[in-house]
Formats: sequence, structure tokens, C-alpha cells
Amino acid sequence: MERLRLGLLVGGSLLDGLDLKLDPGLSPERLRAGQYVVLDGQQHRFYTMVTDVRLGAVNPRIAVRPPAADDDLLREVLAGESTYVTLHLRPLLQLPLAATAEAVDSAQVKTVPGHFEVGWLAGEEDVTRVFGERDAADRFHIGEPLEMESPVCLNLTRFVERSNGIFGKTGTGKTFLTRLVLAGLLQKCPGEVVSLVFDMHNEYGNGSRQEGKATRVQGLRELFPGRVAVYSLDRASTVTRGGKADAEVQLAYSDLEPVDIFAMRGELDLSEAGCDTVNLVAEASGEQWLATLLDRDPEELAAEVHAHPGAVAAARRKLSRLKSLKFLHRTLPAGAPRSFDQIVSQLSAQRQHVILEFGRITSLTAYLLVANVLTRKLHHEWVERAERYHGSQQLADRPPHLVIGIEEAHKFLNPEAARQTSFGQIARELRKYFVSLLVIDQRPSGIDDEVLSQLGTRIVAQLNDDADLNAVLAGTTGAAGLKGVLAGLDSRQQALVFGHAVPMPVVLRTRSYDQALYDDLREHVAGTLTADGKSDLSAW
Amino acid sequence: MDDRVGEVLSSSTVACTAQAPASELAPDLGAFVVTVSPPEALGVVTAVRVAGFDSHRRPLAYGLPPDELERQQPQLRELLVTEFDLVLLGACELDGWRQRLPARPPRLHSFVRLATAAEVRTITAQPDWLRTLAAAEPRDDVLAAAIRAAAAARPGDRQHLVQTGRALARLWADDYERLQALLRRVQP
Repeated sequence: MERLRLGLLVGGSLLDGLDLKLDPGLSPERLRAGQYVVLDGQQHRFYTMVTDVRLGAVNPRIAVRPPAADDDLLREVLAGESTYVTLHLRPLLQLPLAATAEAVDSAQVKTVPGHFEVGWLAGEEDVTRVFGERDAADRFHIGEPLEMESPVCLNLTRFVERSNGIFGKTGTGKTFLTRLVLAGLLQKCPGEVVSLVFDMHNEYGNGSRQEGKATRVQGLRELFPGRVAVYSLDRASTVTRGGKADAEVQLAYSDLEPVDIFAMRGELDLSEAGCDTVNLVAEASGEQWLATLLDRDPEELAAEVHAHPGAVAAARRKLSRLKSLKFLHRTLPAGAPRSFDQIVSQLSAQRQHVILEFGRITSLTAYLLVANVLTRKLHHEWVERAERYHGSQQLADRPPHLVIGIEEAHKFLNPEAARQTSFGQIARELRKYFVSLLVIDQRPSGIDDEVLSQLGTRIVAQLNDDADLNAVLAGTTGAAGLKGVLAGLDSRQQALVFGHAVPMPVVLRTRSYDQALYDDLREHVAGTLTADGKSDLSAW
Repeated sequence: MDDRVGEVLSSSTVACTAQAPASELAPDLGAFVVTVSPPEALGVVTAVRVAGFDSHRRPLAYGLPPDELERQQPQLRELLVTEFDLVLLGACELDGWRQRLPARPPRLHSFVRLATAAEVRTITAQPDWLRTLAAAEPRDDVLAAAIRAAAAARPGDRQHLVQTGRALARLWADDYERLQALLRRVQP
């Protein structure tokens, strides 16, 4: 295997990173932050990532009196000897030279190679060795390292163990990344992992037009027939767009609890006092609290629940905005199915993924309300099921692993909301109850630090804001080095992936979402679903 | 011997002085020359001098153009002596030229000839000769002339010139201006 020799290790430390002096004659332009450099020590092969490229000079006077523009000889003489280039490398992994594939998962770097070990630009084989074969049962190919062809695979088993995040500013491909990850779960983990995605912009379930291009991309429902159900809050819009909705979501006032309202206090402009008032009303009137608050005479109600009439009137005024939501009904028509029960059965009995489209309902209020209500209920349901399973230890009782995908995540997970919503709770309690989040956001700095630090795997496309860069790296070691790598990402089809599901951080050229991917997904769908929706993949 | 450019008049293991048969036959400053008596030694010309034959009689100015001077005073040619100094860099041993000082000084009155291009390439293959020459000869111009002569033995080999420059950069790591000035003087 041909590998490019870069230079010799001349210094550094485990904590601060290694310094590799580039061989004279090798232009720094051949290198890029984020590339892998491999060093073979006496017993281990060390994988490192280029985090910085530095120009140095042995004599400070050279910088004061640089060679004249036409003094080629002096320039050539100085290059590589008196002036030199150092690569700053962040050690990522250390593998025994004769390691097996399994060793990769526990190959955390614990020391550094000795002086003057040779650094090589990592070759295809080196990358495959770390990221595994794409055909392995729980590996999903999400892209290739830049300028390489070896597949980078997510370890899906590890991926669903924790909540994960997909970040990037608008137009950098968050949607594509999300769709890719969901496709991976659908392809490789049928029956074991299900997802519920709050699809604010109608991008996942049915096909949609690619941003800035004339081509249409296939939705997950088309790619995985029978494994994905599309629910819509606005069936008419879904149908107009040529999509299909398996059911329409209808919520009743009684589905709402005060806590759902509190979590979107900012959106509704509800004060602390307003929240107290809502609580008082809810305590007095139970399930029908919202109908009571919106219908009854404020003064009468205030007297009854011992609240200030002005406060009741204000709360009523603020909450009356909810009346305009078409999918929210005072009571559901007799015999109408309860959407929540339908979704639960779709997820747990039929083991189908559910994409919840919002159609033309673009108001954030609607999005927050629906996501809050359904997630809270699902979380309760899954906690119950998980406890039952922990009690019985019967495999039949084990709920499928539920991944809840939310866009605009900072609206749910900002420091204030994270304390109140189920989202915050799910993010913190990890896999105990078989529920995790897939956080999709363009403004990670708005998300609570504690939640961010709990994210297992982060897939990050281009971000520019310094606060956002710091936020996505919160809780990672060697964040400073990765920040430079992140800042260098292109705005299209590039992402940095790091965390639990990959052995080491990697800058990807993400897989194209095109016919080749469709064919691959269809051809290699793992297992089939049996009639009762259980997977025949007993190994998973 | 036809290729003679001088004859050794004083000798040591580090340097020699030789007299040229005629002033126009004296080697250039910085030229690589060989003292031919066995064992042969190789050196670089670090100075060339012309003086009166008799140290008690100073040459006087005649105020004549060169052709006229030659016609009127033909004896002058015989009264002037051209001498040059060598710094020794290499010795010829059984297996060929080595970059080291000869064990014994070149014999007095042995002839001096110009080194062949092949000999110059051999002796300057490793840049260590620069260190020997720089230590013996304080004037950088001599060094520059020798580097030019070494380069002339390798027409078109710019890489060797760059390697030589790098060796000097290491030698004078703390004297960047000296390096800069010297490299300006060796530019082809």
C-alpha cells in the first residue's frame, strides 16, 4: 500500500498534541486540517488527526529580513532547513500493531510514540481498519473521509445507546444527514429500533425537492415500504405535494397538560404568574383544564380556584392562541381514533418508524405543542414498558428502542425548557428506558450545556458562529483542535463526526443521497419483518 | 609537465604556498588544485599575489599603456613573481580522495595542477569541506568563489547548490545576514 511519508515526530505531549516536522520539500498545501496521520511506534500504531499546520524558523531574524522576492536560491536554501513546517497532531487512537477488529472499540490513546517515529498520511487500509467493514451487521456507511474512498461506518448499536446530535447551519445538509442516519437505522436495525421524527418541513417521509436543484429525492416511506408510516397534521397539504399520509394527527384538549404549556412559555408569552394560574385551574378542573380556562367566565373561575381575576383573564388570552390550531379539538368526534394510541401501536406493535409531517402548519407554537405533548406521553409509555421489562426480564416485554427526532431542538432544550420538557429528561437519562433523542439544530449554543454534554455522537456540518462551535464541542476532550477542523468544513456534503458511534473523530464527505444509495439500501435491507412486526434478526 | 599551474614553495599539513610559472598561468581564486607529489593533496586557492622578484627592489610606476610597457621594458615579466596560497581540504588515499587533511605536508617543489571536474565533484560531494574552509579562511568571498567553482564542476545541478546553502545555513545558524550575503555572491 502506497502511503505518503510526511516527516518525523519531534515533540509534543499526550494532552497538548504531537508535533511532526514535515520533510523538506513537502508543501504544506498538500495537507489539510482533519486529515489522519498514522505513526507506527514499537508496539502500537497511533492514529492522529492534523489539527494545525505551523510555519517555523530557527532564527527569528529570518522573519525580520525575509528573502527578496527574486532571491530564489536563498528561499530554496531556507526551505525545510532554516524555515520548516510543523504539523500539530491530535492523538486519537492507539492500536496494538497486531490488533484485531474488535480491539478498535477499546483503543483509547493512553500514551504517545517516541521521538523521530515516522508519520505517514493514512491510507485506505488504515481507515477501514478503524471504521470497520460496511457490510457488518450493525455498521452503516455514512460517507468517506475527505480525499479517500474507504467507507466510514457508524456503529449503530452504539449510536442508539445515547442521544445524538446533528448540527450545522441552514443549507449545509442537516436534512440529508438526518435522512441518511434514519435510513441506516431502517436498513440495519429493523424491528429493534424505531423512530418518531417531528418533521417540521416535510422532508423525511415523502419525497421532496432537493434544495437548489431540480431533482427530487425519495422519502423514507418510498425507500422502505411497510416500515415507515407518515402521519400528518395537515393531510390536505401532504396530498397536494403528492405525498401519502397514513393517518392524520388530531389532538384533544384533554391530551394537553399544563407542563406542555409551560415548556413553551416563551412562545406563548406566558408569565410565571400565568403558569401559576394555569396550575391552579388544572388542579381544580383536572383533565378538562384547558376547556375550562378557555370557556368559563374568568371572574367566576378566578373566585372558584382562588386566583386573581386579572391573571386568569391574561392566561386565557394567551392560551386562546391555541384555538387557531386546526388539529387541536375541544373533544375528538366520537369513534375517532386517538392519534397517540395509533402512534404507539405503530411504533411498538408494528415496529414501524413514524414521520410526523406538519404540512402547511408552519407555526412554531404548533410544532412545540405537538412535539411536547407526544414526547411526554411516549416517554411515560416507554418508561412503563421498560419497567415492566426490567421486572419480568421477558424478551417479549422489551420495547423497541425509540429514537425521537426533533428539529429546532434549541426551542425544546434551551436551559429553561430542558428542565421542564420530557426532552431534557430523555437526554439526561440515557438508554435506561429505551428512548433517546436525535437532536437536529442549527443553533447548538441555544441548547442546555448539560444536555449537550450527554450527547453520544455528534454529526456536525459547517457552523460559523463561535458560540455554536464551542457548544457542539462541549464535553469533548481536545476540543480546541477539533474546533479548527470544524471551522474548515465546506458548506456542502461535509461533516465532522465524533463521539460514541465512531472510534475516532472523522471529517466526512457524506454519502450522496441518490439512486446508488437507494439501490444499496433496497438490496441490503437486513432481515424482514414478520407478521407480528418482530424482527427475525435474533442476533441484533 | 604541461598542466602545471604552480610549484610548492612552502608547505604544511593545512596550507601551502606555490609559485605560478607565469602570472597568466596562476589558478583563479577559489579554484581547486592538486599538489601532485605522492601522496597527492587537494586544496582551494585562497589568495593570489604578484610581487617583485627582489624584495629589496620595489616596482615603480612607468605611466605607460600595457602594450607600450611590454615593448619598452620586456625584462619586467621576468622580475615579477606570481604566488598563490592553498588551504588543504583532501588527501588522496589508497581508495581515492578523502575529505581529510593529508598526514604529511606536500613535498616542497612538487608541482601543482588544476583538479579535474571529477575530483572536484568527489571532494565536494559531502558539504563538510565548507566547515574546513570556513575555519581556515575568514574571507567569505573565498568561500563564495570555491562554491562557484564546485558548482561549475556540476553544470545544471542546482540541487547541489541548494544543499551546499543548507549546510552553510546549519553552520551559521545564528548568523543569517552572513548566509544571505554569501548566497548573493554565489548566484550564477
